[in-house]
Amino acid sequence: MKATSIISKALLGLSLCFCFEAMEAKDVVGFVKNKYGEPVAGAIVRSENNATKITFTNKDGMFTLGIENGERIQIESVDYSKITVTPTDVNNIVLDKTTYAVQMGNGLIQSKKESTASVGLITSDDIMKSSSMLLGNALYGRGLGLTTLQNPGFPWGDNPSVFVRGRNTITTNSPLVLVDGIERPLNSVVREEVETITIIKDAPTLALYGMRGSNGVILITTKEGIFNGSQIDVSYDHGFITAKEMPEMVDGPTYAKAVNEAQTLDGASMLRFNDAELKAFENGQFPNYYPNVNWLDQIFGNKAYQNIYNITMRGGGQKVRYATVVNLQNYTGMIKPTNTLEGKSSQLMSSKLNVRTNLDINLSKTTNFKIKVLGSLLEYNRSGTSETDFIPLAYNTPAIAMPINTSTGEWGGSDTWKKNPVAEVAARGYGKSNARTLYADWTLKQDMNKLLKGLSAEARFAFDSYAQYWEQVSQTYRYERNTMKFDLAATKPDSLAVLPNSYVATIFGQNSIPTYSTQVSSQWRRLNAFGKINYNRIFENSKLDANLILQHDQYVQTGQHQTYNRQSIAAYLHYGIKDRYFVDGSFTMSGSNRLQPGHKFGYLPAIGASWIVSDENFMKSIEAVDYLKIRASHGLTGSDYVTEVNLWEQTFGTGGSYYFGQDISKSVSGLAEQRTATELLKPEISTKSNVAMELRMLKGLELTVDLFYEKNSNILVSSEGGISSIIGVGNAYENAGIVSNKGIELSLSYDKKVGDFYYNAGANFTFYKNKIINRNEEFRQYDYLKRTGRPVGQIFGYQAIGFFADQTDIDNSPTQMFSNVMPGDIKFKNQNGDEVINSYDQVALGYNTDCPEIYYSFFVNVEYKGFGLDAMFQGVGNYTSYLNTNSIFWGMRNSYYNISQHLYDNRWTPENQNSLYPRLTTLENANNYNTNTVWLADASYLKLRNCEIYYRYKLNKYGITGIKTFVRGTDLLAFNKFNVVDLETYSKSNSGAYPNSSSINVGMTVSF
Amino acid sequence: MKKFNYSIKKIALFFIAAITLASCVDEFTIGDSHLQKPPGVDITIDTVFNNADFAQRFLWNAYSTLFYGMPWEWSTRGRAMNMGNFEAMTDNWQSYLSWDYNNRNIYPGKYGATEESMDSKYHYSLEGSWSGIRKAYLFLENIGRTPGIDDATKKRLKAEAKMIIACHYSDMYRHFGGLPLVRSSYNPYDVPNIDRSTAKETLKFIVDICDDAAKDLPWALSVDERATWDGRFTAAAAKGLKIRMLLFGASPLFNDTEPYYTETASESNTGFYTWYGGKDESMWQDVVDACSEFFAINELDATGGYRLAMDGDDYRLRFRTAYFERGNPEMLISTRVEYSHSYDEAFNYFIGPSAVPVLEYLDLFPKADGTPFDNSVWNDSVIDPYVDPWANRDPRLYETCIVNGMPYQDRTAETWIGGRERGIAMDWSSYFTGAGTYKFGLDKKLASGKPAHWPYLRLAEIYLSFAEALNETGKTEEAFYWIDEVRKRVNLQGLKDSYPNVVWTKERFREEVLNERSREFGRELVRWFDQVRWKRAGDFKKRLHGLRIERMKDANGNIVAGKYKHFKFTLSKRYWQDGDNGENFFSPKWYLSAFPITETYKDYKLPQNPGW
Repeated sequence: MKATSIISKALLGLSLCFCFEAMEAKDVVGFVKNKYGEPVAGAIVRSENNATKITFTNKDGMFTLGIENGERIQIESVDYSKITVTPTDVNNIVLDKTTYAVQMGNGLIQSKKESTASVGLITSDDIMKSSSMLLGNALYGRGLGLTTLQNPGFPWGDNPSVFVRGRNTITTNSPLVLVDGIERPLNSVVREEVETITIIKDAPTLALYGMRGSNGVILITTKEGIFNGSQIDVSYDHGFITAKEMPEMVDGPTYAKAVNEAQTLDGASMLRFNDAELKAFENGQFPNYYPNVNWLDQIFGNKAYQNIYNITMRGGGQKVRYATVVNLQNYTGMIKPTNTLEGKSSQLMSSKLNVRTNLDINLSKTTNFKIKVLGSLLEYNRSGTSETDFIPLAYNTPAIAMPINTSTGEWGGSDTWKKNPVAEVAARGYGKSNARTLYADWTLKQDMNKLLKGLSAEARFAFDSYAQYWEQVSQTYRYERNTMKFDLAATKPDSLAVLPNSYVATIFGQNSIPTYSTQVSSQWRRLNAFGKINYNRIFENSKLDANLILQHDQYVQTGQHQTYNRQSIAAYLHYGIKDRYFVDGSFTMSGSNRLQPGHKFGYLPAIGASWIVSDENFMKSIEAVDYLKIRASHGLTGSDYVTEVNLWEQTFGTGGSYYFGQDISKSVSGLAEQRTATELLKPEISTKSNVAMELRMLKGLELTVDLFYEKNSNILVSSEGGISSIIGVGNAYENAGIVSNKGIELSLSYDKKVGDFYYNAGANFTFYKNKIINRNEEFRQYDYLKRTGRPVGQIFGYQAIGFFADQTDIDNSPTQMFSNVMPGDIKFKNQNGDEVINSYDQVALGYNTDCPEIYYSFFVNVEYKGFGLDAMFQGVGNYTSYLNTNSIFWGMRNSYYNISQHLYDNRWTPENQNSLYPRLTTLENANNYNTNTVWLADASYLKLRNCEIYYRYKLNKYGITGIKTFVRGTDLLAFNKFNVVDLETYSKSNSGAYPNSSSINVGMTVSF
Repeated sequence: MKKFNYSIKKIALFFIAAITLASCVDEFTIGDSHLQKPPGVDITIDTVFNNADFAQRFLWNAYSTLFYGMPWEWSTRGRAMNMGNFEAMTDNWQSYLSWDYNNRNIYPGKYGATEESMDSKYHYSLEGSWSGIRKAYLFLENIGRTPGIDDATKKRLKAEAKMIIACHYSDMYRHFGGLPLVRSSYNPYDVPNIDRSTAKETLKFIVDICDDAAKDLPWALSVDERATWDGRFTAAAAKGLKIRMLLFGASPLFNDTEPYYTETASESNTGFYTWYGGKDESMWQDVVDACSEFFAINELDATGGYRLAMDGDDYRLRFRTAYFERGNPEMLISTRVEYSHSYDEAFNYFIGPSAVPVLEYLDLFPKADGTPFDNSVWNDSVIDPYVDPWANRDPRLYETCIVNGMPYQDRTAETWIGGRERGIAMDWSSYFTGAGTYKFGLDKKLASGKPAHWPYLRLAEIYLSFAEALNETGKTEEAFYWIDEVRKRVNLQGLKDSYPNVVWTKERFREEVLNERSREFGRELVRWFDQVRWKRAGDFKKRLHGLRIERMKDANGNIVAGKYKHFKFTLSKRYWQDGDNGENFFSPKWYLSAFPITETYKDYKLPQNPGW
């Protein structure tokens, strides 16, 4: 608590210097314009110190405000700008990107010009160019520094992966996501609720987040009420969703032939199918016994639908402002078999209702109260078999497995493939989830000008809770297994002879009555308290914004040891001289209950500085340059990540039993040490440095370049690599890991307005490269095996150098120590020159499968008289995928999996030795199915994420002020390095996936 | 100022209201008390050792780390050599499990320090010895403060913990030689750099622990304890383990005029980690003394002590009782991992292809009266006049191996090509050499669901060790008694009667003791260490054989019931066996295991074993 007293003394000192001021009122007239020189109407203009002295610009951008001598004027406009000017500068106030008011979190709002921070910005306009139901999926390519990666999915499974500035640690890289300053899941709010999203990337601002700041912060700010007016937007958006790029699986006859081929290559003496059976698959004469079913077609249709209904109401006056969003989304999936049971379908469906109300109330002239409440109801519906179970079945069940239904109308069944994919979806009942979310936070802000000019205090409380509940109606089904035998002696090439009495139909299982079950699957609650004392003054040549910030957070999940308590105290100082030189200092003491007693707190100092070069006299003469700023920052951020809770304790628990006695089957149960204590457990610390330049020139060209270097130390790593085995126990950790990460972030854009014609184009590019400096790595026989010195997540595997042509080739090659090899198996490169290929022959291959090193996007927006076109492309590079999806790439193995047409066409055969993939096998084959270059692909892509044509129409009839209609395409185009299937869908799990989709949305917004 | 006070009050009120609303049950805390550890159950060392029941359960768990010679599950320890076993590295057995460690690494000669993995024959750390030792020390260090256990019981429990340490060291000693001597449990941040000790010091360390533990243990379990507590350590177990270690230590592997491996210079030799630095014949006398002491105490023990299992007239059953039955009168140390074996899982590999008896082993079993089996019958495929070579043999042959025509599963075993056991496969069969494994698995039905254990150490080994040590100290005449007692169990004549023409030199007697150990302890993992401690390079190098058995047909091609043709064939060569033209591939380095390469690079002195 030392920091508190220092800060308060500093504040007291400052207050003594500046507490005498003369009072004298006068009227000031001013004009507000945007960067194109057009007047800005409806901007709020008020006295900096007295919020009740307020007025608005008229349609000419003009305002008149009575203020006292020495007071500044604050101007806020609807395009998120906020600027403070002295009364002498009011004749030509320009609002542009430099006056942009950036939400920095912790109640800090800074104009972009003054800020020393490195932030990425996403506005409501950006995310409303998407029609995604999840907010996360509206972020592709948005926000410089944010890497958003798509995951395959159904409505509740496709949360994207997000990273801020790539990866900088071996442990966890999840950024902290905040909604209105409180940690809340990214997708709990919908796009329509969001005003801005700030991606916070460098130390002075991140340090304030204490033990949660190291991985970057995504700060979502919801819409608030507006002054002096009201606006109602009603919108409807309908999406036609089409599945794309479903892999094609081989048909029945091909699969049967492939099984025989695989067995032949495995060296089996008996083949699974005889000629008559192959023929039966071919001619489809006995569908009960020799079926041919395209299961993917049976399970997945290729159409789905979504609807988004939204009403946003914003308005207010001087006393009360409000913003209310009512948003209803629903989705109907592309599952084909949708039997209904008791009125409930087995289709994948979801429905989400979000109701948000944000109120902003002036309780008195000096007291402001804000309350923000979100209630959300979320429902999912699926078949009794969960999607994670039946989706793999659709891919993995070969066409010959079983008929959907037998001739007697029973479900078809099989010995090997026990589950009938269609029956699993249609005949197992349904499951339904209900999730309830309540977010409530309220903020009280007290102006204390009377006590000390520029002093104010703020307190915020938040109480969030969430619970998800599943109910399930389950059923089982009975199925029929049919077998028959051919009379091989009597079979002729053109006719199949069946052995008499060889037809056998056996019924398994039973059609059960539905049973009902229910469970609470997850719940959490959070209590957050926040307090701030702010001293904000503008002096003759300088300005000071000093903040003392207190944070207190409690997050409680289901289960023991799942309560996370954190708190911090921080001082944040922002000091500017002559509106050109700015320095930020941020000093945080942050503690977490996940850290060891005695080491629970970490001190995180950070500084930042910026210099607006273009405001210097020597730059004034350079006409082309409108704005040039150089900024830099350096400091520490923290992370309280631990592998397990209470890691500093040695723990004991149930251990292996022992079987004493002569003939008693009961064992005596044992107790054992489970973990040794990790001593001196410290927070992970990231040292972040950033330098950047922001340039605007030629009245429209904007360039931002950020260079950063960060080094994470104290990373929790196992100490086993160095400790003698004689200790007899594992699992001790040390804060010894070090990872460095560096990168460049570039943003370039140009916009121009010529009469009715407006255009805007730009691009973002980021490149990140990290390196493990230390991870207590165990001894490695060869340098090339070392993970240290390589990026986090670097893939290690074997380098394939072709396929064994024949036995001679095998005999002349080093022995591969994985499984017995046959011709057509993968041949690996011998890296160390010994006589065998074993784990010492692994090398670093490709990049990683989690987070690409290069992430970029570019966009264009053209508008003429309300007609517009908007498009955004997004791509990644230096990214690798693992092609281990069962059936699609790893087919047939163990006689169980299906094979895709792609795999079949590119398999090794004695005739096709120049193939992409090894021979087919019905065995496990550890030689072929390990991490090696055959199964790695360049995952780079470039996608047209959004493309829309819209029309904006302004009118003034029936209370309607404007209409916007649009047709919008999502993911219509993709350029992939590996273009067989969409790797964003099929490389994320090895068991097939709900198809990713493209969609066409049509929608309309009516404003009142 | 009034206004300000009003604001402050308002803020304070707001805070209180918010706190009251938000937190109804839990206390609202700030500062350090807010950062208390999250609620939940924490079992600490105090929880365990402040409760008599918990503390003892900690020891029972330590028992579960003891070595078990059969695979039982797909875990690091439970799958041993990837379902193989090191019996198949001896000259008695051969593995036909294509993916076990023998076939992948040992037979092709690909073993080395870099190949040490969870599949090795005895991994330095993954086998769990150090873990068992830590558990035992934690128990020794903490049991003192446990309430509710009387001092006598504590002494006994502590002695049991010491035996857990001794057992682990005895296992590691026979695979690695000298070891770091651990004398307490360690904190991971304060692991002392305990260097490797010499072979002699390590031996003394183990023997001392055995002697120390024996003081506080009952010689045998009391009658009323046996049903529930059979399997706990006794003083006889401690003295028995001591004899096993003394015998290993006296053998020429370490106890010789020169190190076993001299091909290249080795720190292991110069540091005396795998060599004593000279030959000390008195070490054999130590074995003799230890055995004499053992039998003296055993004689006088009030419970009746231990004795060879000789009940009943069924000789096979006597022998089966001795190795198979828990709590039989000769079981000194019996370890357990489960109540009974599950035949459809890991255990099936053990009694299946992972070790198949070779012809040389089958020939070791004499005729039923004890006279040697004449293996010249294999010189010709047809035995003329026909005498069933598998009939009337040492009962232990049938109990150890499944041989052609012996009763099996209510019928006779068919190990001929195409028979129900052998099948037609040309390779990879559990009966590839013409015989299979019977021991432990029996005919599957008989043993199914029966309590299982590993006969870690039994009295017969003490008998045969005594015989061996007496012979080495020149008391061969006294030695006959101890070997003949073991033969008597299965109704074999004494050695002298069985081999009337043999002159019993020390060397000849030694051969017969080692053979007797092979016959008595087949699949009990004794032979490997016998081959190693006697540096029996010849046994490593010799090529091994099997039999293809075919049904005999008459001139018309009709099968003649009960008669077979036997084709002797040479098994595929193990790396270390001699080449077809007598080339040498063997190196004495194979006697001991290598330390895992990652371990030798850690921050303590663990010189690699010679040759690796």
